[in-house]
Amino acid sequence: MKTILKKTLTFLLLVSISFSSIAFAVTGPAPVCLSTPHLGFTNGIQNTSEQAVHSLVILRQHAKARGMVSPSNKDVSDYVFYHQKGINGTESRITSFLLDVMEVYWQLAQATVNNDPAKEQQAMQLFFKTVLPSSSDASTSGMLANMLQFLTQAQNERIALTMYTGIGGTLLDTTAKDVAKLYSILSKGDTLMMAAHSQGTLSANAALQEFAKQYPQFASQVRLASAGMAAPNVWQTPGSIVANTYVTNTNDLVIDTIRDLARSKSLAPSAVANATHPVALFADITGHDFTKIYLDESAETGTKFMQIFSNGYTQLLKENSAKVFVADLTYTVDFSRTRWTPENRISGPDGFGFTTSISQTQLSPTTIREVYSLSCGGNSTTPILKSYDFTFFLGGLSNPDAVVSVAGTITMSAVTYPVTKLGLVNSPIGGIPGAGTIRLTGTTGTPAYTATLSIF
Amino acid sequence: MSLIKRSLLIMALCGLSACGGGDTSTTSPPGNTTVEPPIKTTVIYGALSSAEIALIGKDADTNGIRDDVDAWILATFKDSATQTIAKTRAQWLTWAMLRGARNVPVTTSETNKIAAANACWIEKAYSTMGDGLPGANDWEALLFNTHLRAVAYLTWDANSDGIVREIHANPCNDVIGVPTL
Repeated sequence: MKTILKKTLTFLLLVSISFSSIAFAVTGPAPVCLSTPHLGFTNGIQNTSEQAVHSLVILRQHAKARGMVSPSNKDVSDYVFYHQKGINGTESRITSFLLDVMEVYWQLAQATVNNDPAKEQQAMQLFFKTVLPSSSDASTSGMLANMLQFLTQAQNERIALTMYTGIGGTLLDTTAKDVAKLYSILSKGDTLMMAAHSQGTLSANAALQEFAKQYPQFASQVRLASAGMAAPNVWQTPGSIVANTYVTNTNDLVIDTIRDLARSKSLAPSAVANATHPVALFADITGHDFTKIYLDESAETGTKFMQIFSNGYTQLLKENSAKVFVADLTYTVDFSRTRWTPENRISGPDGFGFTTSISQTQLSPTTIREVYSLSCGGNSTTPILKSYDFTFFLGGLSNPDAVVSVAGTITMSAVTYPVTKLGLVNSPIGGIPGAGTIRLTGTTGTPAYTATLSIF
Repeated sequence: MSLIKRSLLIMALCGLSACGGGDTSTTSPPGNTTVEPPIKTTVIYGALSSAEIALIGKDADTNGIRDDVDAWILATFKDSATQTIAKTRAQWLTWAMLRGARNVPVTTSETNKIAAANACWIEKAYSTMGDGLPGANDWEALLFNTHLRAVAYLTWDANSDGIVREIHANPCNDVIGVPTL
């Protein structure tokens, strides 16, 4: 009877999962070259996309009130990673409920084996173990039995098989979409502070684990704060010093039941509750709603969650101030304005009788490289014997936002020029992305030299 | 979890008329329980079948918003700016419902436009109502108050699974009127 009750509650509880909002605090101004983190939200079960958007925008309001701002200098400020879970209009209500539960089981099974594809068989076994009722359950009579009658052995075997392949495929596909989106955001050098709620903690974990596996160089540019943890564990950025990055209400009946159920089915249980919100009889009796419970700043759940979010946000600002990654970029050179000085021309003999030229390879599409030490302000040098400035104007940029820095190298026709300083001294020029000046300062002259630009 | 908690939960959940999360206001919006015969044919969505017109419901002023939804907006939001964006949002949600009824593929562009209308409305309403503003589920309960409407809307929603919504810093700049279907 106790098992039946748990199952029944799980079906019912999964209906009521909701959202919340978040807030945080900024400590000091952001570095001039660093954009503030984007905000992201991943919804839980039984949420429509409108409800997920609602959560993100309410979160943004709370954030704004605490001095946090979404990046306004970017094409897109914030993101809702929407996962439609179990409210498919083409399904019957019962089937939708079942779909929801199957999804949770499937994800818990995956989480139990740490989303390791090599352990797929183990995950499948765990999945079947959770969805197939025991004989004692099936013999139970009364209202609860009626509510669970669709969970007969035969029906579940059929549904489970369908669900395992169907749900598994759908969720994997959704994870792949999330990973692609994460790459598109983070590979430009941006950062992302994500919030996940309820079942969204499972899907966010899966997406971030996969992302970190595929693109470890970008993993530190995203942080995750979780509320109402359905997941057993918290995804951690490699090397992150934040150990506590989730909040679950001790009165969260939804997570309570899922945790108990998982434990009884040999699945890894949801993380233990670690904060308390008083039972909210009228606002949200389940103790699970994101905005009502986990963003309620008058309770421990809200203050703790906001602090976690704030910590992650601050970390992103601090740790990524000198780390920039950009995606592939194509460009052309504006020869009408690109030139050497003091000669003030592109080619021809300079003041020392040497001939300068621009490498034509610069006109080809260029693969952007990664820069780990970005100079936001540039360098200045003191000429010793000679000083050349190479001022460049790039055009046709495929992604102007991606151009953070341009550096130059000098190749010689004879001996290596003893360059003492080579750096960006003025960029962008007039606010134009991809325009700047490289200054070459050396101690002696050489027969010829060519500047080659590298865009970062 | 105590038995009392679980019992309370069951009682609460059994009383729910609709599922889903989101902020919930304490004020229940008015709604119809049946599809009303249309008085006039709205034109902002383009050519519609009789079934689609019936799905929209009674829309006397042909603004694409069911009359009781119009009334709710005027009664709930006091300033004209919020009323205006609330109506635009209602039109977009109705538009989504009609798209769901046709079960056509959902594009990223349309999800962002609908999200922008939602975000803009929240930003305007939040300034006066704070966290007490109606939740998305309140809107949905009002607009999709029949089985047919709910199924159509949820079909649109299901077809948008996995699409990442992009919200700009100033979402009101992205709000436009609904296109024809």
